[in-house]
Amino acid sequence: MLENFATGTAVAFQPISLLAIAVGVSWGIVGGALPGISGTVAMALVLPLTFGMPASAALMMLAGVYVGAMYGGSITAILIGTPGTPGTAITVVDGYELQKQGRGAKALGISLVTGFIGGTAGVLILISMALPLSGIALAFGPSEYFALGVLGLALVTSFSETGFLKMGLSTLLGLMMATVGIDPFSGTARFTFGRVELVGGISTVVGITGLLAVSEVFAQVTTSTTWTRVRARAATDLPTWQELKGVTPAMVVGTILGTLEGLVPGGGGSVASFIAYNQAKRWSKRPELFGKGSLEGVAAPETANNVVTASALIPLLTFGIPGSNAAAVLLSGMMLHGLVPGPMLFERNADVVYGLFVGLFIANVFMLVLGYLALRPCLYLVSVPKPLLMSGIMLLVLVGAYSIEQDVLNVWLVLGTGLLGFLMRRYGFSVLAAVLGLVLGFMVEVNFRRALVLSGANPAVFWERPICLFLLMCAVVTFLLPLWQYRRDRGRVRTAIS
Amino acid sequence: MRSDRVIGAVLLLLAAAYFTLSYGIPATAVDDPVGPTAYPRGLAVLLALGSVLLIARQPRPDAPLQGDAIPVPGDMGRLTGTIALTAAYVVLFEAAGYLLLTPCYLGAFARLLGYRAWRPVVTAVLALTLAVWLVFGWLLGIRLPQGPFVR
Repeated sequence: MLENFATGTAVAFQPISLLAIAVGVSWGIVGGALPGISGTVAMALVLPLTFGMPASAALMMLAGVYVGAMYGGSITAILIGTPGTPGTAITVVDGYELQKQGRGAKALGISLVTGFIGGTAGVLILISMALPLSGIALAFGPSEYFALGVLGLALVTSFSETGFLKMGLSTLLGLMMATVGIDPFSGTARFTFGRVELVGGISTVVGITGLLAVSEVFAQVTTSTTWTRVRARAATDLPTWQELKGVTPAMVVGTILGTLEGLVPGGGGSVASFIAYNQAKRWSKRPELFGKGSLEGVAAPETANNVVTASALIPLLTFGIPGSNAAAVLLSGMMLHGLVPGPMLFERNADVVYGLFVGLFIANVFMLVLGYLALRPCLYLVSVPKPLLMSGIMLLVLVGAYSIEQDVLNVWLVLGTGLLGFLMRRYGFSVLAAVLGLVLGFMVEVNFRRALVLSGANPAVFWERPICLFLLMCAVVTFLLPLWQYRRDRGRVRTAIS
Repeated sequence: MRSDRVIGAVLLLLAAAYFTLSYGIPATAVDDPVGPTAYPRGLAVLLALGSVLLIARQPRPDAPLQGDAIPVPGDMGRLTGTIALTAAYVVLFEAAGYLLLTPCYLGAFARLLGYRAWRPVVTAVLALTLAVWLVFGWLLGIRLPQGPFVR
């Protein structure tokens, strides 16, 4: 294992890796700070850039964007009261309050340092949990992997606030998009309408950038909100030792919740920061300050956010189930480079996995340094007028889609999925569920069919193996729970009315 | 919502079309007892069931929207304009070439979104065009369409 870490360190300190991380973190901070571009969208936009890179550098760059975006999102949350990313929505409450009190620089400093501590703690947790878990995963056969995929999708579906029916339908649309192209078993083309270009399937890059980034551009185009310019004269004031000690309980709460959130797929970081904020308030010695400019109120969600950047990779690397939407983008980055997550990844591609571990450490250090030094240029970019920003994003998406196979069909597909994503978001469906369906579709289908082939088409293979049965039962419970809650609440409303 | 019924009907049609298309999948020669059609058809059946539920269920007040939902209809004219402009860009992309077409597209897009100050637009548009060209064409070695003037 030490040998693997030595290899990983060597890989992560190669000039190209360091450059990839630095570019990733910088873009992450800027992208995260731009309202409308979440960390996931920022990652999706650089996916096409990673094609030509070595796999390890590509993953480090994507992870760097993820880490950087977490701090970037809190910059706008604190300075102008608009969360740059969904995960920083709760940071607005106390962060913006501190800014109004003239202590914005301190809030930024707390966010930066607690984010760094959270991110680093997250990497340690990732390493300590991923290695033993990958051992468990060795006992998994196709039926267990199928059950795990179904559980992952069920968890996403149950996380909805818009009703599980629409979430389920969104997931199905993603799964169906994943079936276009070569049939993984027979090798024949299906759902390609005779187009040779579609034989390779709908690229996940196309699906992800279309559903997330293009739909966001379309959404911004239809709203005529004015662009808030950051006029604040900002600086970062790093916390003193005393202040850091004062927010330690909040950081502990944030670390625990960030870890749990990362382990359970579907929540996507924003849930962790909300719960962390509320729990930190509960356990705080000075809960009355929350909402009135509490440093703990900034520290708890920012720690949780940054822990998730690493902990979401635990289920991804060990089982191939992304723990957050950003991890889903990372998964598609892995697939682009022919890497299959799971226990074999640790054996066959140790350089990539351990390189990513060390790379995440470096990304957090870069976030600390770049976040401190690059605040002003970053604020300058955040003030770019919306029309220019939107046309810039669109150009990146279009050229990125074209660059996949130097083919216009992908550009049409990215536009089409963008329109689909816009309509889904407009009518209460979930693009994130669709993205997860698209990314997990291959794994679910291949393992479903492989399990049945191995058992001679005997469906009992799904309930005779205990782990598989347990996972499937968990999936059924998670799927039915929201339905039961809905019926119970409706019953209560009826009783109240009568 | 009434729109749910329309969406349900559209999804039902989609499920039917997808199911029908699954008949075009050739049978496998390899030993596969389940066959290549079972999984896609299962998805189609689930989608159809979900669509029927969506159509049949009681209209209910909108659930609280999640983070990335778009709550208001917004300016559909600008959306149509954006899609038309982008479609034109894609149609002309290979014939007109990246360097010639992109500044026109970006400039028109920014103008469509109501940005009228021409000097920052020209600067930003040229800078963006060049930056993306350098990153993709030069750094990543992607051959972007050259257009009619370069041979």
